[in-house]
Amino acid sequence: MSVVTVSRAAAGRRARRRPWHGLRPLERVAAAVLAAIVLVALAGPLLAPYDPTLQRFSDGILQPPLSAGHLLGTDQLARDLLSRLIEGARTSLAIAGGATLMGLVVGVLIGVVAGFRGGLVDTVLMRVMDAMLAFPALVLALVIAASLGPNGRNTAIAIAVVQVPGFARVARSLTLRERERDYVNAARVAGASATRIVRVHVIPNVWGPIAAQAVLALGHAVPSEAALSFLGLGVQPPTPSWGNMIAEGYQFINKSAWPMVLPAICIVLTVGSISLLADAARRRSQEG
Amino acid sequence: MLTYVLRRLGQLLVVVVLASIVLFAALQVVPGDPARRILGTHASQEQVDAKRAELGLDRPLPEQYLDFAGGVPTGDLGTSLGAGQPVADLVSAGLPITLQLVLLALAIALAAAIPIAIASAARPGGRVDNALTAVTIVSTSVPTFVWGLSMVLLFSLTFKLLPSSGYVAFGEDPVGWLRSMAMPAVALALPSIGTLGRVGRAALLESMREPFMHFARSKGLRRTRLYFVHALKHAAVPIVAVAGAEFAYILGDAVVVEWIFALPGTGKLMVDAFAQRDYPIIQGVALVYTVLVVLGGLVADMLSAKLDPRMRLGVRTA
Repeated sequence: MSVVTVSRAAAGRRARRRPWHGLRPLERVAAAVLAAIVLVALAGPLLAPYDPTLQRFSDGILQPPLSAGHLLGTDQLARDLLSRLIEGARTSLAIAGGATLMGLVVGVLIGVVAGFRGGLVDTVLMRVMDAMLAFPALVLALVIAASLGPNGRNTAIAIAVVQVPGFARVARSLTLRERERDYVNAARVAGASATRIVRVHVIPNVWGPIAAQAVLALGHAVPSEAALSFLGLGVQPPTPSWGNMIAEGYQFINKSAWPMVLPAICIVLTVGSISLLADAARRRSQEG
Repeated sequence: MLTYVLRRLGQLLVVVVLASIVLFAALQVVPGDPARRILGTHASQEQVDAKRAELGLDRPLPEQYLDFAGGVPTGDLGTSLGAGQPVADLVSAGLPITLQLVLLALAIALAAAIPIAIASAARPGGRVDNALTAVTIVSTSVPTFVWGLSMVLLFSLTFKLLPSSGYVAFGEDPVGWLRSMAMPAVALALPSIGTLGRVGRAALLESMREPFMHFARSKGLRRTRLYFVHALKHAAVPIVAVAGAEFAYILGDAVVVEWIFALPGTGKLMVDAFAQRDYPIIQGVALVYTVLVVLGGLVADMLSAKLDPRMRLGVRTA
């Protein structure tokens, strides 16, 4: 394919490149869709026409989209679906984003320490990471979420724990590579402490592949939150998240499919956009 | 080959033991007292203390862990808090159903992904390739349980073709078995079809550039033989490696899918145990799953070694 030509062309103007440079047309659409979803989630309460937990039985339950006063209809408790989807976006994205951030910080810390120190520290830390990877990801998240107790914060913690080994492995292998570079030796000769070398020299140089891993992890975090909340081990009603909206909608699927289908579409659009951008991020980290 | 397998088994044993410690630790942070939960809120403190002693919860944690881990090699996974049944019995009742489902899903995923990969790689950047790339992106972007629910909506509720839940044993009624397994297995396979298809495409493109492919092409071999035999054999190593990882994903996602379709496998056993806070069951199922994941990885590695002699003989190539 055209990987070679792309990287050669990109190398020339690498110095000041806008974030959207080098994205393929479909990836630009994905970036726009994801940006729109994030903006809607951020602006949430300003855009939502109703309180997401307000039950207006006078407007009717399980109304289809485009019914009077409700652009996307209502659910089984006569709550406005559009308002709930917006609030659900806030919940789901906050959990997925928070989980990825926690996973990144802890995972990179473990990986860098393991790679930089080596020896027994490295062996012990990475064996524990291997042990965590021996669980199917969803099973480990379920066990942690169930044992901490079902709520949004604990869902984020459970997903973050599952992501730690992935970040740790990437960070470790990059640190091993960087550790042998001349600039690290130069810093060491100049008397820099290990902490300073890692913070000032190593981390900035391993940033690209870690960012690519973060996008990938975010793409797993969104469906994980949805699955946990769907099983009742994540965000608890009445707080809407896309996952528990699907669970509630599924109970009334014989009467109306919209309350289940609409949050499912939101998840698919979000995950699809993220996975397209994950491809772009990986490509970019390989070029750099 | 034998020493290779034995060495790998030794490493894997270490991983499983560590995983059991991780699992034991994760379940220690449970809020509330299991003894109190069994007896209800009206039990006196003496009754609760007696129950704790009966369950062994009053002993130091390392001792409790050794008690749990010590039974595992003999097939003792503890006793369920709710029904009082041995966890091992519950797990061995559900495991065949889960394994059928997971292996069927993996077989479907491979059977669909390989032709997709070959069709894409035959003309990279062509119309077929672009269309299939779009298909694989969609199939991986829809979470497994959403695939499952959408299929229930479409095939059970709208067209009334397949049952939305329930399990029929293969021995009783093979057609009924297929009808009960079709939707859950396809739901589990779809995300993996995307992943395996894309990995296979990349691997095939790589093997197309190898000198042996130029040679095979110049011999005048037909395209089907060229792709399905020569290129695929070379590309099989990464496909097998990723299939091993997909096995773990499918096993995890099967937990949700079994619950949706009311298939009485170990996944549903575990979800039901969450609702009843029956921690011995959760612990037992999760531990069995780590063993399965680790064995799946070993099988994938052994297949890779079989396919690529360099790996088996420890030859390093640039």
